[in-house]
Amino acid sequence: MNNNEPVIVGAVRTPVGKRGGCLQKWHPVDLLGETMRQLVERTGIDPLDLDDVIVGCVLQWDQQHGNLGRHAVLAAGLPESVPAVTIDRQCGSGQQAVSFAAHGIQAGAYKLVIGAGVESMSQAPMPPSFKLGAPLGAQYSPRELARYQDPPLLPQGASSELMNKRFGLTREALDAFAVRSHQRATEAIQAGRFNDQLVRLTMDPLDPDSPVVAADEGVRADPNPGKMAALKPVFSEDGATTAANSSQISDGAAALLIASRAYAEQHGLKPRARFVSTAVAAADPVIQFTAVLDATRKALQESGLTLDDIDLFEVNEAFGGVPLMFQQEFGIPDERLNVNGGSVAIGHPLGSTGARMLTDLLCELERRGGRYGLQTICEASGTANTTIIERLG
Amino acid sequence: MHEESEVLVSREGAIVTLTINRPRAKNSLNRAVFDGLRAQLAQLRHDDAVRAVIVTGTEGVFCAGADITAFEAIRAESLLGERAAAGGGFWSELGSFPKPVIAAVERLALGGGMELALACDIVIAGESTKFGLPEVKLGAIPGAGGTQHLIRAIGKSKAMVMLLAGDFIDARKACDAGIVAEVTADGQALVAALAMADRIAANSPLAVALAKDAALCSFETPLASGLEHEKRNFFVAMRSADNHEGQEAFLSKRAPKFTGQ
Repeated sequence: MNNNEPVIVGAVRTPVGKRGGCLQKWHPVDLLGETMRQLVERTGIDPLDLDDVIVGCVLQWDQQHGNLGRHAVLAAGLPESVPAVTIDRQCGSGQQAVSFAAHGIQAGAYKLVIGAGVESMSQAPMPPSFKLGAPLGAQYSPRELARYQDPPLLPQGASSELMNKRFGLTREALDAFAVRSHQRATEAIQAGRFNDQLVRLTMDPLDPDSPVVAADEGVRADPNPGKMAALKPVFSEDGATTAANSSQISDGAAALLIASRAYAEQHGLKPRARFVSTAVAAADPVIQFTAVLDATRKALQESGLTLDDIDLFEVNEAFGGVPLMFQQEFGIPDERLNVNGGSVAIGHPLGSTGARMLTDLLCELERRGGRYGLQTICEASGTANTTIIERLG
Repeated sequence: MHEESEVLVSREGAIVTLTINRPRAKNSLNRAVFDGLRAQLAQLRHDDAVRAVIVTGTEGVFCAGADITAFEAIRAESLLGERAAAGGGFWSELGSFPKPVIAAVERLALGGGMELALACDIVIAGESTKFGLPEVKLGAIPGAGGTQHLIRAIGKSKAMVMLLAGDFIDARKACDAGIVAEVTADGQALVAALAMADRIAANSPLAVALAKDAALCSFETPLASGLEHEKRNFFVAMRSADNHEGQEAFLSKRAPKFTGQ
C-alpha cells in the first residue's frame, strides 16, 4: 500500500442559501472559515499539522479577493502557521481544489490538507456577463476574440442553447429534468440524507441565537410544472433554457479534509474514500459544455473502470442540459445520476459547488454502501474536471 | 398515504411524521384531525421500531387553532363523557405518549395550535411563526391545557399577558421564553425537527423513554417524590442491555447499537 496515497477523512458543507436569502449576512471568508472550523472540530485533527488549505472561488474581487483562503484560515481561528492558496477553475474550482490537495499528498509535498470551495453571490458583486445582452467581460483579450470570430465566443447562457440544439435537448426534457431535481432534493432533505454533512449555521453570523439554517433554501417541495412551462426562454426566443431549468444563484461553502494514508493511520483517522482518478480536459470554448465528456472519458481510461462499475454519477446542473447531454452520450441509467438532485434545486454557489457535490457524493456512497462515484463539472470557456472516488471501509 | 386524509403519515426509519392536512382551513383542528392523530399515536405507542414522532402541518402552516365552525358541535356536547369535539381523549393520549414528540411549527400556532405545540416535548419553529392564545377575544378560554402548560413553561407574568390580553409572540420571543427549543429560517422547521429526531433516535429508546417519564414527572410531584422517581428510572436504565451496550461502545470507540432492552 502506498503511504502517500491521498484519502478523504472528512467532508462537510453548509446548507446552500439563495442569493439574498438566509446566508446573505455571512461574509464569504467567515462562511468558509466557520465551515473549516467545524471540519477540524469534527475530525479532531491537530490543526498545526495542516500543510496547506486550497480554496476554490470564482468571483475573486471585493470580499473574495486577496487570497480568500488565507483570510478564512485566520477567521476560523486556525493557527497562524497554516498556509492557504485560492484558485480559480470557474465552476469546477471546489473540485479542482480537492484534486490539487490530493495531488500534493501524492507527490509527497503534503500529509494533511483541506480542499475547499466558497462563494457568496449575495455579497460579491455579480460579473457583468450575468446581465442579459451584456458584452463579454474584460478577461476576453483582443487576440482571443480575433481567434474566434465565426462563430464568436458567447456568454454561458447563450452557449447553453448551442448545446441544447446540438444534442437535441428539448424544452420539455429540460423542464422535466428541473422538476426531477427539485423532487429528488426534497426527498433527500425530508429523509435527512444531508444532515450528517451539514455544518451548523445561524442566519446572523454575529448572533448565535438567530434562526438556524437547517436545509438548502432553494429546493421547492412542490415544483409547479405548469409555471415552469410558462417561463420565457432567457437567451433566445426559440431557445429552451429558462431560469427554472438552470442552476440557482447562491451562497455556500464546503470543505474536505485530505490526508495521506500514513498520516490517517498514525492519527486514527478513518479513510472514507480514495481518489481513483482526477482528470481535467478542455474542448470547444464556443459551446463550452462538452469538455465534461472528454474529462470523463479520460478519467475512465486512467482508472481502467467502465461506466458499469460506477455506482453514482454527479454531473453539475449548471444548466439542465449538461446532465442530460452527459446521460445521453454515455447511456447513464436515471437511477444512478444526480440521485439527490443538483444545482437546479440545491443552488450553485460557484466556487463551492465542486466541494459540495463531492461531499454529497461521498456521503451518498456511504449511505448506500456503493463503491465508485464519478463527479464532473463543466467550466466557463470550455474546461471540465472529472473525479472518480472509491469508498473505503 | 391518502391525499384526502386530515392527518398524513410518513415514516423514515425510526421517525414518523404526522402532518395535519387541512390547508384550506389553515390546518385548524376538528374532530377528524383529533381522531386521526389519536388513532396514529395509539398505534405508534406499541410500535417498537418507532423512536420519535414529529407533528406538523401542511403547506407551511402549523395550526391556526380550533376550527371555528366546530364551535357549535363543542357547545352541543354533553358536559359528561369524553367531549370528543374538543379533542377528548386525544389530549390524554398525547400527554401520556411515552416516546419523544417534536412539534415542527411554521407561521401560525394559535389557540388549539399553540396548545398542541405546548403539549409536545420539543418545539422547533420557523422564525416568522406567531404563537398566541387569543381565546379571550372570542369570549372563550384555552381548553386543552393552554393555561396549565403555558404558565409552567414561561412563568406567571408572561403567561398572563398572553392569556388575558391575547397578545401574540414571535418565534424568537417564544424561544427566549422557553416555549421553543430552536428557531430556524422560515420553512426549515420540519427539516430541523427531522435532524433533531435523528439525534434522539440514535440514543437508547429505553433510556429516552425513562428520561422523558422522569422529566414530565416534575410537573406532577413535589421535589422529593420527583427525585425518588428519577432514581428508580435511573436504576432501571443502569440494568438494561442498552446501558451495557452504551458502555462497551464508548470504550471501544464505536457507535452503539441500541435495542431498547
